[in-house]
Amino acid sequence: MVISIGFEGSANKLGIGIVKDGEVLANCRRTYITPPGEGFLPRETAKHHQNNIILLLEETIKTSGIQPEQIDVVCFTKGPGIGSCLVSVAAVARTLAQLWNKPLIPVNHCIAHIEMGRLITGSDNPTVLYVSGGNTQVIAYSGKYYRIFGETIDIAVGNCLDRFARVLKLSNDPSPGYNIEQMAKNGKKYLKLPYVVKGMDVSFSGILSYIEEKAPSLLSSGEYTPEDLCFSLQETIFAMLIETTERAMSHCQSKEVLIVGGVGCNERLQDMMKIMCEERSAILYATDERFCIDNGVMIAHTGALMHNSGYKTTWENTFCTQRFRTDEVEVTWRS
Amino acid sequence: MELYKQGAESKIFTTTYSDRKAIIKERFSRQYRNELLDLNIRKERTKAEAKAILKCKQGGIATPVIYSLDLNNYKIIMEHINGQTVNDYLTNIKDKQDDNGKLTKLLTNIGAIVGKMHSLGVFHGDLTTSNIIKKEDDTLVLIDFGLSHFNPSVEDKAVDLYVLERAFVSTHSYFSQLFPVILDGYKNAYELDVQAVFNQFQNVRSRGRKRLMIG
Repeated sequence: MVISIGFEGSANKLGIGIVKDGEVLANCRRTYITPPGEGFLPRETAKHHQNNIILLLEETIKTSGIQPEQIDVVCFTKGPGIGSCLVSVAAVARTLAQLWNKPLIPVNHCIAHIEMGRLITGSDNPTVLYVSGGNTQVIAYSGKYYRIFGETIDIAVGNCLDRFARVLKLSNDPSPGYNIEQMAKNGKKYLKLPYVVKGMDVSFSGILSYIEEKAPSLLSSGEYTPEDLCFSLQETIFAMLIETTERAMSHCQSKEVLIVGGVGCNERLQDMMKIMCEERSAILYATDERFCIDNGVMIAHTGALMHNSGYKTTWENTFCTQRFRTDEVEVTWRS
Repeated sequence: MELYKQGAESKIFTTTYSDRKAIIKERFSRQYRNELLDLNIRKERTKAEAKAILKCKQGGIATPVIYSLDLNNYKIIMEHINGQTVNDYLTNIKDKQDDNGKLTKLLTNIGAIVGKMHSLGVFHGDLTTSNIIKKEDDTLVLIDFGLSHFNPSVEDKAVDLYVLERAFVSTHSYFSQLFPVILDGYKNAYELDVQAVFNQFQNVRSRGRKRLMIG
């Protein structure tokens, strides 16, 4: 039996979670929310994490109902993410590991999303669509590695949505993407946008520039409402994601899809994926905001898997890195 | 008419056309997509596919013969190719190490037809090992030109090679060290400045998120 604590703070979410053999004992989170029209910047976000992490740790331990002595392993996000945020959280994890004299496990953030999704949904070997504010990847497991089949060649899908939310001055609470989703529900008129699929890869920066440039005149002339634009943007970029996911499934003859990452809790995306899956008799696995959005539990769970498979590291290797590819990690815990 | 295969954007049915074995490739309506977007994508891709198949065939690359094109229903009736996809073939031979010479020849040929296609001025757009069929006599047939267009830039050609590399390395990790053999085949068949394509290929590979950063 392994009890594991995980620290996540690679972007604007600070999360700490505790798991016991796949059972979630605590999943606590604080989000750094900026005013409408603004994104989060590294320095301020790191400051937010530094100010909140001790209180959040107390809350997590209290919620879990266990004592720090019972914890077997301390895990933290090694990367990818924003440097100052990663470092702020890693410093706390390192200190605790020494204080409690427990092994310390650095975890890849993207892989943690996948493993969390597999745990919660019980899916075995799915094609994974990982969509968030920082990442957009279509992933399949093959020969001890999570291989990236397709990905964005510029900005992430969540980043595209967030930045468009800034154009419309939508609130960042609870997240800009959530507010776009609500607006899109009332959109009706479809604006034709560029549709950019390059083989398995997608690109969003051109679409964003296009709609950013057109939006002011389309809105002021009354030709389109903000709701219409949110709707058109979602419909276009999600169709691109579903298509590339389906290409990967077709290539690997996979019958399961798992959606993970913050954008993964968008219900329209889940609906579209579900329809695609039904059309090819595949099964969709998706989770809700508790586990889709960055959290500490996913780090704790993945760290525990690594620990159980015999993973050990030296102190020198518990550094953080902003770039840490999904396909760099040898998956020792899967056959 | 019987459903033979469902790809990412189309259904393939087997049928006969003037007593010949044929397939119908139908870009069916995708319910998950917005209707306007859906119609537009289906029409553009059906058109692109028919044009590229013809152009490649005129240039001497094996592609299926088109029997009939129905743009209103987004359907192409074409020749049924007997053979297996390179994807299936590579998966089947992964445990047999004995015919390495044969494998090298196959990979060289893959590079060669891609080089030839680019020399003709065709960009494929979805060049994976699933989209190349190997016939019994080892002829390679290119299919699935839905994302293709003409007069590709050096960037486009590099993207074709990059997509092929990624599909090859991700699915056939056991052969991943053999990708340079494909590039050799490409080099010999490509009639323009191959170094320009290879340089851009390096750029595409190391662009944006794929770039490794030290420190």
